[in-house]
Amino acid sequence: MATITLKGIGKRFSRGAVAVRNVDLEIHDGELFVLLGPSGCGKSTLLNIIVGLEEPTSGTVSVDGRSMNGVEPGKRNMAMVFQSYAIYPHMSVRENLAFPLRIAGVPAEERERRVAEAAEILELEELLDRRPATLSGGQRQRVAMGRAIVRNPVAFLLDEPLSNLDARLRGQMRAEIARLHRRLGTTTVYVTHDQTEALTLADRMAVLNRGEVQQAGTPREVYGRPANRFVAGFLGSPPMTFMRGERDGDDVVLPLGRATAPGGGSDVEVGVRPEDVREAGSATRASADALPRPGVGQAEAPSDPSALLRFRARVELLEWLGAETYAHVEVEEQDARAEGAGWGRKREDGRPRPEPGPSGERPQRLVARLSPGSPVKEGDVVDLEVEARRLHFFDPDTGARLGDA
Amino acid sequence: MSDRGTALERLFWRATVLVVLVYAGLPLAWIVSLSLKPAADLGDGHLVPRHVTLAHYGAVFANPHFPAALRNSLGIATLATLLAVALGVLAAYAVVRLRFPGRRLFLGGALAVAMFPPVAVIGPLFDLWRRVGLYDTWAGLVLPYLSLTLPLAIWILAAAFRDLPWDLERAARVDGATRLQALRKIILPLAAPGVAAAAVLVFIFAWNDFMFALSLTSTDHARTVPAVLAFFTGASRFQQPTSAIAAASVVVTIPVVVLVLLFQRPIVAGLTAGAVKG
Amino acid sequence: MRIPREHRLGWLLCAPAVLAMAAVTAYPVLAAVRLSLYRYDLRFPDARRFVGLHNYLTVLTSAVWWKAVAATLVITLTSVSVELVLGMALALVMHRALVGRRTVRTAVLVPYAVVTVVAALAWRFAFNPTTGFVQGLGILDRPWLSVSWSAFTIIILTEIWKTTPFMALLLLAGLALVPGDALRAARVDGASRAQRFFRVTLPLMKPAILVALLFRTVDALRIFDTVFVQTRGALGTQPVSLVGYDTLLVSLNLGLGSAVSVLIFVLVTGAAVAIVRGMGGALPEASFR
Repeated sequence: MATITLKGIGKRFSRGAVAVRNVDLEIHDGELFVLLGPSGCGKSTLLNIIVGLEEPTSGTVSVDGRSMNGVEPGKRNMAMVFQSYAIYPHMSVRENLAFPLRIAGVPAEERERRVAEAAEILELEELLDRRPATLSGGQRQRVAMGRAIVRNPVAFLLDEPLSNLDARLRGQMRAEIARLHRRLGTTTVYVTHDQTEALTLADRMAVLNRGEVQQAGTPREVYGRPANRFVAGFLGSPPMTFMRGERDGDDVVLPLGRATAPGGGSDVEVGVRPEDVREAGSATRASADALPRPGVGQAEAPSDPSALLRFRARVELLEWLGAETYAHVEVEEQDARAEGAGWGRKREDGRPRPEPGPSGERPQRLVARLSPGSPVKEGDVVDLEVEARRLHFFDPDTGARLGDA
Repeated sequence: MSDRGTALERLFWRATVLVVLVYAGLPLAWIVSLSLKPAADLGDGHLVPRHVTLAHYGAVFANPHFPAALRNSLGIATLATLLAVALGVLAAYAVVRLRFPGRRLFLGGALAVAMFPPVAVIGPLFDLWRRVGLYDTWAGLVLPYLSLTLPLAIWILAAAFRDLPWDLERAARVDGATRLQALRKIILPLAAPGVAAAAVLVFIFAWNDFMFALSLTSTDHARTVPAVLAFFTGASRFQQPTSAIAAASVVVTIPVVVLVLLFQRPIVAGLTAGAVKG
Repeated sequence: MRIPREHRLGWLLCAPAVLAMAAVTAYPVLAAVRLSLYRYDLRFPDARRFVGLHNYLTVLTSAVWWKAVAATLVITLTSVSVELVLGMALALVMHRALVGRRTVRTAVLVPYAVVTVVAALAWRFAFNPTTGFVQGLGILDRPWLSVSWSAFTIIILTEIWKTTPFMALLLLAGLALVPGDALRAARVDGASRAQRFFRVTLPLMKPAILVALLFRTVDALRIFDTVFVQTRGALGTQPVSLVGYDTLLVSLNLGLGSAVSVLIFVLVTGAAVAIVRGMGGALPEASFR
């Protein structure tokens, strides 16, 4: 049980490449903390620094307030599960589990008891006398987990533990890890590049890019209010669509219509998640007709219709996934849309509405999640809508979130 | 490719294998044959002896120089092997596993030593060894063999270490092992084939060396088999003890051939397979 | 500045190997350079005195030295070029053989492992008119080791027999590096067997070929054992190593012998540098990494 505090951690390799830059994080006692980021973002380096396999160039790692700088990895009493599992191939499963205890000089009797205990938790009893080479991927994964829990470490460090498993097994092991964490309550740091793992497993998480922490928080916070464009684009599948919003007073003009935007007087970058786009009227209908399936209509109808952006788009491609359908659409010209739909607001100063962009610009593309039962076909022109409060605004230069962040 | 083509190909490869076997084996077969022929048959030109005698082997071992030389060869080559592998393991570990200034210089230096002409140093070594009392001793040969085989040992060991999944060592260190413990309990067992290869090749070098043995020894005290064999040769200009030399040659060849056969076997090559990924 | 732990550990672990290698190479070479500037004959140890470059002058103006250089070069160039071709063939056999691959690989190791002196003896006996079988083939009406060119032939044959396997193993390592996909792609692109070998395999093997050439050339320049056993340097077959050995340990003329040693060292180093430069690009160090 331990709180792990990272202060000002930096790691520069001898060739000058910077792997990690000025990372401050606090991982609370007993929580499952996920480090998420694309490959090469420094998340594994950070994990190696926590466990002591690499020394940071600057900053301190402390566990329950005690600095770990210069402490050998073996003396930190942490357990690590490697992406490759790192099962000792010349030892049986039993010997693998016993290895940390043997090194620590635990007497044979207790060693056996604890190996048996760990084996029981992970259902490895049948495999104890097998050689690693004869085990399946999932079994190896469990042996690696078993070796981690056998010594009652203060923390588990998991480095992409599921990425060598096939999809089905991955889901299964993910649930198993969640159960194990709930049962043992040990502080866990989990490194992954897979957002599903991060969102499903994390109590809290940090998104890393280029060696820097982009945002830390609960999965809901990070997904719901991405702190910057990188986080917004990295989380979510299919990813958020970004478009340019040209400033017009308090408003910005988007290819989708007008919306009130926070921030100063400059243009903004606007992000829209596929699940926030719906067929026009479906929400109102959903509430008015009181459809028996409440989940279908997304959210309740907005009280203020002006907070709704309505636009017309041509469906280019439909991806039917069974439980949902993603429509890749091309947004139609704004004027026709504004007149036709009538939702666009007039400019207060009476000047003509600016063009959506320099003429000849590529049409705005967008992904919308439709209900799988939607009758829409490829080539159709449909009316879509998105609530203004669902829009994410970012500074186009710095990428930082604007407004409510 | 049709079945007939495959059959033809198999025939081709069988013939090729046979050619290679003859290439590698014929000179040795000839010397074995000479060692088994009675003196009268020596010039009969038959590969398979018409009469077989072990008398020459008896004669060789009756000669006091030969058993002594055999003992020297075994002892010196074994010592050089143990030392070279020990030092080689440490250096190879450092080279593969650590980043430190001078690493490339070290590798370059080792490469230079690997190409070193022994004749360039036998003079000073001869001079120095006589002054410090290493002349005609085991240590006087072990040291040069150790030095000149270290590059080879480091090379092979570094290659073997590099092929190991290093997560295993990292895991061991997280599990509480020191670097030395991880080296001993995880790396060395897994790199065993590489260690064996390095050991065998160092042994062969030491076993085969002629120039140092010739230059730095003079008596049964440390003279090794190759030098003694050459000495046999020069003993009598007119009547060469061909059969005895052949017998001694066969005896000295047996250990290396045995080593090669053992070394070639796939020593637990599959051990690491499956440790990492599927 | 604090020296990182990793650096200190690296130096510590390499130190024993460095000391061992330096003790038998760097130090004696420097000693040889010093000795070569003296008249120092162990038969007349009291007559030792500094003579500058006189020993080098003696060596470089002697016919013996230049004949030895010529003999060494003949042996080296012939054996290494034959070995390269033969070794490549052998490597291909080891790499591709559909049957008996293990047998071939084991068999090939035998000549490599056999004591050079024994190999030299075996071939000498094979070519000897009384104990051999080659004379019976009627190629030459005189004993092979009594004529210069045939003596060279035997020496070179012995070298080739003994060291082609080493060459082949180095080349095999190179062959293993050629990605199968590249060859399959070339096949799909319509390249013939020969085109695949010369256009894909060979270029990809260049580093391995360079390393093999380098090691074998340097090794061949050091030739000693075979000649010592087969002709003892007679019939113009005396290589530079044998000149050095005789001067140092038979004549016990350490000064003059050291000059020969230093010159051999320079010769070998020069050859190594020339090969690396000549082939360019692929560093021999690559083989270490």
